[in-house]
Amino acid sequence: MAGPARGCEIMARMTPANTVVAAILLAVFAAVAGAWFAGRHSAPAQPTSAQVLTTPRPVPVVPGVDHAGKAFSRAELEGRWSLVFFGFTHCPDVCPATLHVLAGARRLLDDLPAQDLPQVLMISVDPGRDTTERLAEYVPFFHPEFRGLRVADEHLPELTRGFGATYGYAPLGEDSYTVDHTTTLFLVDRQARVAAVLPGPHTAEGVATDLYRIIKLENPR
Amino acid sequence: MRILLPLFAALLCGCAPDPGEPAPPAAEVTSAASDAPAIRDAWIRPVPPGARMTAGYLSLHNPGPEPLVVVGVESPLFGSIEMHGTVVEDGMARMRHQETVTVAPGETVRFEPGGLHLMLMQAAEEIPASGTIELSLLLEGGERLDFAAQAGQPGG
Repeated sequence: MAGPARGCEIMARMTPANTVVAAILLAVFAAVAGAWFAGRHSAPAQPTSAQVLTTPRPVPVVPGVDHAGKAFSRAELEGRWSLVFFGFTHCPDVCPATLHVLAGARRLLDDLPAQDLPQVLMISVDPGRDTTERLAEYVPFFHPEFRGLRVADEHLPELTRGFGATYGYAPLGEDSYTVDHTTTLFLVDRQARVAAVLPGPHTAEGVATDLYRIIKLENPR
Repeated sequence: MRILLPLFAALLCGCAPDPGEPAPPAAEVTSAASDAPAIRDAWIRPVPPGARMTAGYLSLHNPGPEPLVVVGVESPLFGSIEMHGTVVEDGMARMRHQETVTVAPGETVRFEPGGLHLMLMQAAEEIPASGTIELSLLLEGGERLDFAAQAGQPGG
């Protein structure tokens, strides 16, 4: 019989003032706990300028070689993230500026686990002048881990179309030409699909932030 | 021409500076005359060894009462230099030759990444990644503006 008697005692001590204090304490506790749970379980931050595709597009299977002369196939894109840029080595302004930004972004991502680090690829839109040797001199200059890819003329249109990129040749000076090309960066997921596009202008911080967020969205912890 | 100038200036102002490439220590052309054109923040983009071309950037201020018209660029290091403008439309970058660049009185024109730039071609020797590179702007009327551009990316 002791139990109910003690219960009555407690009830008896709950004056209106005490009830108000208890309610406030309860509310404060609920708010703190709620914030704590929200902090742990909220959705990860969304990318700021990258557009994540609702339906990722598979990268077309076309033959290519990297700047070391090694065959590059779709399998090289599987199992890791890749950031793809279309450019050419005779490009004095936009391409080196973009590669410089990408090198900065890559350094900002250095502390990501190795399996999450995106590989950075420049696919040449000028295979006529960009030999693998030329790409080998050019692309790793910006970052030793960057890879240049050469895809022959006859396969390049299919590849760029698959990404949603375009390019075209325009005369420059008396005996030269330049290449108009898409400056957008493309993020390819572990299933070799174009998962997000990053329209320019680009900054190292912006690119790194977006990549980090997209990679975290894939596997929120 | 008078109508085109403000348009041109507005176009140039529309080119956003690349925050990744902060302004370098000024390599300046200064003159006692207050009306003398001023060249600031000139730099040459570093390129991989063996490259024979690169891009140059600078800002050109015209404090004088008359438009300043740049008709050419010269350097002992390069066989050919052209002025080019990069235009990015719908995510597509197009680079086009620019015969002349005009700076309206009181205005500043910026040559900067992703916009107007000097295209430096036919390097006579290895393009240095440090130090300075001598350049001259040729003006309409025959005047030359000699200046030194910093070789290498500002801030890194």
